[in-house]
Amino acid sequence: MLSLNEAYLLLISIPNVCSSDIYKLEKFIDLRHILDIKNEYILNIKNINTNIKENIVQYKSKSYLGEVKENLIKNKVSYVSINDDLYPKNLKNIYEPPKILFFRGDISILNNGLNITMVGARKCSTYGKYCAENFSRELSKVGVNILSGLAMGIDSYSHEACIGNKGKTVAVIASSVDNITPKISICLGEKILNDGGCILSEYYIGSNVYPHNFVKRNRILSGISDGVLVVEASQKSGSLITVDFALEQGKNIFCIPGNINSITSQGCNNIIKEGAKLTTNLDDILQEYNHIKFEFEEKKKFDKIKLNDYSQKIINIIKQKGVSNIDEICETTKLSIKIVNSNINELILNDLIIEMDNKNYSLNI
Amino acid sequence: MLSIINSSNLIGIDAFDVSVEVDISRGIPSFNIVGLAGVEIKESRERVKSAITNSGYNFPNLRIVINLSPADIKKEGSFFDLPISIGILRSIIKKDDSYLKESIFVGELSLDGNIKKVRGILPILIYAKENNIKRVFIPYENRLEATYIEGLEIIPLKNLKQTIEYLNDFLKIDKIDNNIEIKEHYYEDDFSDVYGSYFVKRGAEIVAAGNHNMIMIGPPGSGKTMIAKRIVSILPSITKDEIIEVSKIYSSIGMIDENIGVFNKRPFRNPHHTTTKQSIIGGGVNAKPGEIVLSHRGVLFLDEIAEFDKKILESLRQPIEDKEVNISRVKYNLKYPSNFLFMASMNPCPCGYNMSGQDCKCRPYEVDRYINKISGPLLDRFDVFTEVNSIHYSEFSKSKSEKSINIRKRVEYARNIQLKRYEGTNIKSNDDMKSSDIEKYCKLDDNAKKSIDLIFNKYNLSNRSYTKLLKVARTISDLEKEENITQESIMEAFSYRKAYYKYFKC
Repeated sequence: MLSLNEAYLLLISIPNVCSSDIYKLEKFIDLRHILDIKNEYILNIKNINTNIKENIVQYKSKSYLGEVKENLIKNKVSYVSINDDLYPKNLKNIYEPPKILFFRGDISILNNGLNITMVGARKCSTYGKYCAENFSRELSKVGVNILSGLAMGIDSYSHEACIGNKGKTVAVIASSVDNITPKISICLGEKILNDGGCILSEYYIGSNVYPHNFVKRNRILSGISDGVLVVEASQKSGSLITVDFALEQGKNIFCIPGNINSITSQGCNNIIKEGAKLTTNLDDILQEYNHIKFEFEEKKKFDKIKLNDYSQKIINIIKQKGVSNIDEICETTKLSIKIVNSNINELILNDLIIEMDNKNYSLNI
Repeated sequence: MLSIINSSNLIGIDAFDVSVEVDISRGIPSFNIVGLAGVEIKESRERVKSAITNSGYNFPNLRIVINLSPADIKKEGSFFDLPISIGILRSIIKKDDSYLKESIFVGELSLDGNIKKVRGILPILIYAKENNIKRVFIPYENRLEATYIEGLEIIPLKNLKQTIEYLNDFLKIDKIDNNIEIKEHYYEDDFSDVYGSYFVKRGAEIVAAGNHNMIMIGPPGSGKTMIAKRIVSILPSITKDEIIEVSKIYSSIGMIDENIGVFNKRPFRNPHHTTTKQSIIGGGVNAKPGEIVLSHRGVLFLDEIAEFDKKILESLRQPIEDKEVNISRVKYNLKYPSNFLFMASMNPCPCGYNMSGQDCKCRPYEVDRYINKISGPLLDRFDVFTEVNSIHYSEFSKSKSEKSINIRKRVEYARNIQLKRYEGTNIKSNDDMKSSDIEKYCKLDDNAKKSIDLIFNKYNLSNRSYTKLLKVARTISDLEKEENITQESIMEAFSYRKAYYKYFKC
């Protein structure tokens, strides 16, 4: 007889078995006795793919379980079962939560403090990058954990900006923990682990990566969090799937608005229309969780830094126009490029203005 | 009867001495050339024979053997037609042997006895001057090349008959007046044609002032090539020594404008991205100089650098660093100078519009693959990274911008400061500074130190980025006539490094 946790581990590590199959199996048999159940009985269970049933019959054995455990230790991957205390509490409340989560790093951070999932387009604009980094940094400074999917674009920027701050960052990936996809994020994954973050996945080592894994991953991503922040999403973005799951699971949805002309922000603007909370600063998010106390760092005030005449002129121009190109600044202020150039850089370094695409600058509010 | 006539031949861009020994003896009439002669030289038998008879002289009906010494170096080109025919006709020339010993003859003959131009006159003249040879007989068509070499008696010859008559003192030929001052070429492309784009133009000015290498990144049609073409017009005007240096290279491959005689401008080379490694670096059977040598003292501009073959780009690394290139082939092992300003341009992604405010159609991995074509070590060769953006329509209506000549004045001033500062060292411009020199020459004032700290904390600079930043800041301070590096220079220098972080560091 196996313990329930071991039974879950055995089943999830059998090729092609996913957590919904375990839920189906559970209805028919007591999983603790799975090793003793006759093969014919398992093969006759309805509603489960024959392939999967054959795999279960083939692999279910004590020796395979031992192999699995050894493999996990070898690859330095830990696992947590739904019955353990370490298992993220939020995740237990969703429909068919994964029975086993594989992870690297420190999973306990998910049960301490607020978790915010940040999602967005892989192909993002500079504006999206700025938003992702800014919000991730600000949130993690007050101790909020940032969750994301370790994909390119917004996900990466969100993880990256969180590193080194009070809040930790957790990556939920659609492949197994030892095989980070996309490959370009392997380096970032290491950084996350070094910072005390966590990488988790519901897939056993060496599982194949299918496109539908990503959708299932999004279910965990939203389920584990207390709220989802959509940074930048186009009309048909995968991020909107996460939003759908979050709605189903009753999470708060925050959304950063974008330019109405921008294709990369159309999805965002649409979900704001449908009722997501329009978010322009940190407080918009934190006031939804007023039962938690946050420690704020003192923020640099706009007036506190002394500006020289040139900088003041440049700031005024940008204020007037909203967004201003470097050529435009030169033309209107009649300053020479060398002065404009060095002053703009100083303003950027002091976080007073930000650089956007095309050498355009706007105020950092 | 034996007669020895001096001539010269080329290896790479350098000339060497060849003595043409002509022996006419009794025997069965024949005409042979020995001494590792190339095909062109073997063929000269026919040309010489016809030229002599068509000029009204008798071709001796005897056994003629011609030896080109040194016999172990391969000789090529049509330089020897004239010396061979002079050797054959030695018996009717009155000048004595000592006169001929002090002279060098080069020239190609046509069948009617006219002397045609040859390539590589300039290296031969430079060689003659260095080796204290008194006079050089050159083809009339090459006379302009000779105008800039002082201290040599240079006699331009139109045909064989004239030559013989001159050697017999029947005729006087005006020697070339070699005291002409070289006028620099007027660059038609001027920076005043470039509207807007202040940021890039300033970048170009810094690059010219410090001899830094620059890469421009921007969407198609934003004016990258336009700016690159104009950079020669703001580089310090080319000096006489540099003109001779460059002309020597161009003369040796026969690419000199006949109407001017020298290459009187800074070369600007932009090879197409389909070129081969040999054409860029140099090589082939004769170890010919490549584009990097042709852009010596000028600009090498690789347009769409990401489209170039990766191997070509990697092979550029060493010449950029050493400012010379060694080409080894079976027969030759040659060293060419290659001190050039390296410029490159590229799009941010295959479709060209990534991060430029317009819609980019590329997938993220395509962008990555495109950007990764430029390897890290090659990127390290660039000091200045500029983003180029397409300008708004309204910019076109604005008044004309600054002229190249004004920018050049500032550049030259900055270069003079550098020359003074590095007097007595190997360093010529800020770009040549090694990391050990940086501490010595790049002194920061207090405010600058503070801002360096600020930049360091915010962007996690590597050590290499730091030295590059200081180098560029040093140039900017030179342009502003400051002794120490100021805060403004640091800030400005950093703005020319930002594109690196934006596009290449993921």
